[in-house]
Amino acid sequence: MKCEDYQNLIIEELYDEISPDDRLKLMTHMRTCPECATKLKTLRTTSQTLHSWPDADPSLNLTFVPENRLTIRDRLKRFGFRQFAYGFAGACAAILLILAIGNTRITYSDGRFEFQASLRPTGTALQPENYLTKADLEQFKLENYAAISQIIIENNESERVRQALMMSDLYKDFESKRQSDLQVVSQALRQVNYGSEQRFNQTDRALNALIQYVNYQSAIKP
Amino acid sequence: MTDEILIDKFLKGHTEAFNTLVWRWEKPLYNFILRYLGDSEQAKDVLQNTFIRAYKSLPRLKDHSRFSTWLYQIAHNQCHDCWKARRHDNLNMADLENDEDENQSERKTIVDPDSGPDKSALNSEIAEYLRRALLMIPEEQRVVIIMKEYHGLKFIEIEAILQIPLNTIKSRLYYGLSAMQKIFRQWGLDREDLRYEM
Ligand SMILES: [Zn+2]
Repeated sequence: MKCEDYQNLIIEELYDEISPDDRLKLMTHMRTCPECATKLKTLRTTSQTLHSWPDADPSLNLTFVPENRLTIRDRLKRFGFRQFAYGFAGACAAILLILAIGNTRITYSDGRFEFQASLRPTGTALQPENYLTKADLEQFKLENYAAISQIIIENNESERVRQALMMSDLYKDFESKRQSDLQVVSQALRQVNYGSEQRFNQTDRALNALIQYVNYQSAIKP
Repeated sequence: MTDEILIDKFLKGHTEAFNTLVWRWEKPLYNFILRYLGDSEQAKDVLQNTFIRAYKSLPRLKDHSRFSTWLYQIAHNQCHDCWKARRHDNLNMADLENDEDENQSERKTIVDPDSGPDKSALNSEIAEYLRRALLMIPEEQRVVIIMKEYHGLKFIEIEAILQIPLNTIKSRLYYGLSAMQKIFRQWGLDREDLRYEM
């Protein structure tokens, strides 16, 4: 037998998983072959050196909860911690947006979501009766909650990159619609029924949060 | 309580039982993934994905006594995908970098054998050198070394996880350890007095 034929036996001996017969065979060979004897010795030292890397603690705090008991708030709580946040950050940020903006309407289907941030129905003339009423906004809020909870359910495995892209698209969309809102608001601020000024401030705050979010996402991009 | 009893409870609708499994396995799996990828942030992501995958597909695991093997398989697949993706990124990055700089830093001896034996400072650094050294050997050698050295798995257990012949496992260990030994010698990490005391 050549030295190469003893390689596996050296490994078996090193990890103490060698049969008595094979051990005898290896020992006999090593008595006449200093190379193989040295090899076993150096690999043992290498193995010991590897053990100088002690185990680390993941401190993950990963907790699974039964699906049927989940409300939106539970889901947020469940996925609130950072490590889990990638897949859900988009949805979470969107919820924060919804909480901040009353005049937004979100629709979601087939993995895409669209939203309407305009203070007036699109394509209509600037007539007072075309502005959204408080009831409309409440209705949109309810629809938004439903859409967002669907996003959470469907996106729970999404890549963070995809989420980031989705959010930055949302941001662009948001910004362009906000520009048109600006014009509408400056023209007819008084005619809006439901606290436009306050809402407008909220929109700004939400927009800032969104910008921060998108920046954060691009900072952690792999 | 054994893993099998916990799995049984989980499949009967007790989600908490799965959390016990997570609590029990997160440390070994995390360290497996961490040494495989050498990046703690990525390791946390991969660990999470591993558990999420396990959570979803546990109802399809037929032989519950294979749970740990199966869990390692999921973790290994996740690591492999992550490593492949990262290698791809790294190769693209490497094109932009200066080759000369890279060669020089590789030739440099990290631990100077002639410097005074500042053992405590050295010990804290050795883990970092080991992390780098493991990343320098081929992935398929690295994974068997991790399983054997840090998880104490038997050859047949590694065979069950990786689905490769025993002889292949042994020769990967042989060549992997030989490569590590070479790196250690280059870096001056092969001396007795440098060894970390656990
Ligand atoms: Zn020999």
